[in-house]
Amino acid sequence: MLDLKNISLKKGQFHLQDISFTLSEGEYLTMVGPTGSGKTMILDTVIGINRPLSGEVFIQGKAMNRVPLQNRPVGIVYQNLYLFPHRNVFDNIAFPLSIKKMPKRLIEKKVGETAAFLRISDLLGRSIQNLSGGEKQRVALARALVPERPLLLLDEPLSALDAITKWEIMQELRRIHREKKLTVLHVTHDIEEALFLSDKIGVIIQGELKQMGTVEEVMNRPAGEEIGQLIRKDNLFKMVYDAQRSLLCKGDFCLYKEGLEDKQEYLVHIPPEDIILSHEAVTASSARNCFKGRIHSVIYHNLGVKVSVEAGIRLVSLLTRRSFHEMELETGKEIYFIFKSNAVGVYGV
Amino acid sequence: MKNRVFSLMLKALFVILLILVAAPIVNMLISLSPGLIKYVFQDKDIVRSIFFTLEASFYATLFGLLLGIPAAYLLARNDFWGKGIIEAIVDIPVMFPHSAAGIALLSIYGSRFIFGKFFALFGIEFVDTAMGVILGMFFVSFSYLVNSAKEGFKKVDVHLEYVAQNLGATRFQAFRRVVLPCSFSDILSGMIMMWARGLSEFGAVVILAYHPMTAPVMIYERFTSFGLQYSKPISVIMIYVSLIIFIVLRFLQHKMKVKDTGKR
Repeated sequence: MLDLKNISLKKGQFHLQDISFTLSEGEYLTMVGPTGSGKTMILDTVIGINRPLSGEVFIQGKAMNRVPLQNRPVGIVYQNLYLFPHRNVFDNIAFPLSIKKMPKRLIEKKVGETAAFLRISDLLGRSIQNLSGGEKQRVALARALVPERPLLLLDEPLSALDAITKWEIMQELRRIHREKKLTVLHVTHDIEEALFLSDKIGVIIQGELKQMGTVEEVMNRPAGEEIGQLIRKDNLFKMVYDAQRSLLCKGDFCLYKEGLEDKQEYLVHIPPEDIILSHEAVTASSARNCFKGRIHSVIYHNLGVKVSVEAGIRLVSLLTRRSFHEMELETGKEIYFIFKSNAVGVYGV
Repeated sequence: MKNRVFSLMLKALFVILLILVAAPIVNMLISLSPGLIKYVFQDKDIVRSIFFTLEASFYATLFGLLLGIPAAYLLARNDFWGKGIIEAIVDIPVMFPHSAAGIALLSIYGSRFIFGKFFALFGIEFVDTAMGVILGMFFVSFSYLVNSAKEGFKKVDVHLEYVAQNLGATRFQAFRRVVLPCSFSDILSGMIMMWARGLSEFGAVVILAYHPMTAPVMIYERFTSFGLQYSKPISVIMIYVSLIIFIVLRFLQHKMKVKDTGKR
C-alpha cells in the first residue's frame, strides 16, 4: 500500500536520512520517536508537502513524487487538526466532497453516514469554536475519512487530549482501523499509543529509521540501548552478570537468569505486565525471581494501574484495575513481586 | 503615590490628545445646519465633486484589490532574496510628501513620458482625467491594503492550505475557499483604510489631475478663490459622508469578526 524507498530530505539543519519501509494493506504502523526526530517530515513527504532530495514515495504501487497534493490517495489528521474555522462541522466534513462538486444530496448522505460512524451526528450544525477537544478530534477524523481514501496518516493525534478523551479516541482509532479496513501510518512520541494500536512499530531517532518490526519484535528485541530507553521507560536497567551464581545484579538487587557471559554489563528489561504482585512469598512456582518490597507509588493508567515497588531498585508492575482493587494495595504496604526468568529481556550493551 | 501620579499623567495626556484632535472635527460637525445642506445641494459642482470623489476612491480600491491581494499573499507566504526591498517599495508611497508623489506620477504618466505614451496607445490618458484621479488615489493608498491583507494572510496557518489541498482542493481553491474567508476581516480593514485614504487625497491628485475636480481639490479651490466661508460647507459635508461610510464599514467588519470567532 505504502512504500518509501530511500527517502532523503533536508530542512534547515535537519536531515532525514535514507528512510525506507513498506506498509501493507490494512496494517497499522506507528512510527515512534522523540520530538524533533523527523516523524512529521515523513508524513509531510507522503502527502506531498515536502519534496525528497532523493528516493521515491509509492502509494498503491504508483510513484508519487510528481503527483500534486490534491491528487494523492491519502488522508491526514494533524495534531493541531486544522479544522476550517469559518465553516461549521457539516461544512468541514463536506469540504472534500463539495470540492469534487458532488451532488448536494449525495454530500448530505455521505456526511451523515460518516458523522454517524464517528458518533457526531448531533454536532453537524455547530460552530467549530464551540466544540471540545475530543469532538474536534472526531470532526477532523470524519473530514479525513469522508473521501474514502485507503491510506490514513495520523500526526500525534492524541497528544493534546486529556487522559480520558485520549483513551476514548484511541479506542475509536482502533475501531476505525478495523471496521474501515484502512491502512494507517501514525506518528507519536508515546509508546503506549503504539502498543495499543499497532501491528508494526518503527523507531525513528534523529532522522534515521533505527528499527522496524512487529510490536513483539521491537519490544522484545530493541536494536540498541537508545531504542530500549525510548520504548521502555519502566523496568529498564543496566546490570552486571555473575556467571557463578547465575545472577544479574544492580547494587544489592540480583535476579536469576541463566547462560550469560560473566562480568558483562547488560541492558535488562522486565515487562511491567509480567511482574505479579502477591501478599505472600511464592515458592512452589516456576518463577525463580521472588522479592519483597514496599509499594512506593500507584498511578492510574489507560491500560490499568501501575504499581511501583521499592526493593533496592524500583520496579513497576502493571495490574488490571480489578486485581488492584481486589488486592487492596496502597502506598507503603509490603508486597512480594514475582517474575519468571524468561520474562527478563537481556540485551548486550 | 508614584503609581497614582503616573496614572494621572497618562490620563491628562490622553485628554489633551483628544481635545487637540476632536475639537476641529466636532467644530465642523456642529456647523451642520439646514441652510448649509441647502447651500451644498443647490451647487451642482459640489454635489458632482462629492459623488466623483466617492466613485474614484471606490475604483482605486477595487484596482488595489486586484493587484494588492496577490502581492500581499506572495509577501506573506514566501521568503526570497530582496523581499525587504519589495516591502519597502510598497511602504514608500505613504512616506513621502504626496505632492512629490504627484510630481513622480506626472513625470512618468504625463503624456510626454514613457508610461503616458504607452497607455495613450490604448486611448488611456492620465493628465486631467478621471483615470489620473484614480491613479493618484491608488498610488498613495495601496500600501494600507497590501499591508493589512499581508498580516491577515500571515495569521492563516499554511497548514490549513495544505489540509485543504490534501482534501482535494487545488492551490487556487484552497486560497479562495480557506485563506480568503479566514483573512477577510483584515482585507476589509485594509480596504476601508485604502478607500478612506484615497477619498482624502489632495497632493498627488491636484498635480496629476486638477480636473475633474475631487472634493478635496474643490475645497482648496473654494478656499483660495473665495475664502473660508465658501470652503466650509463642502468640508462639513465631506466629513459627514466619510464618517457615515466609515462607521457602516467598521460595523460590518465587527459583525464579521464576531461571526468568525463563533461568538454568536
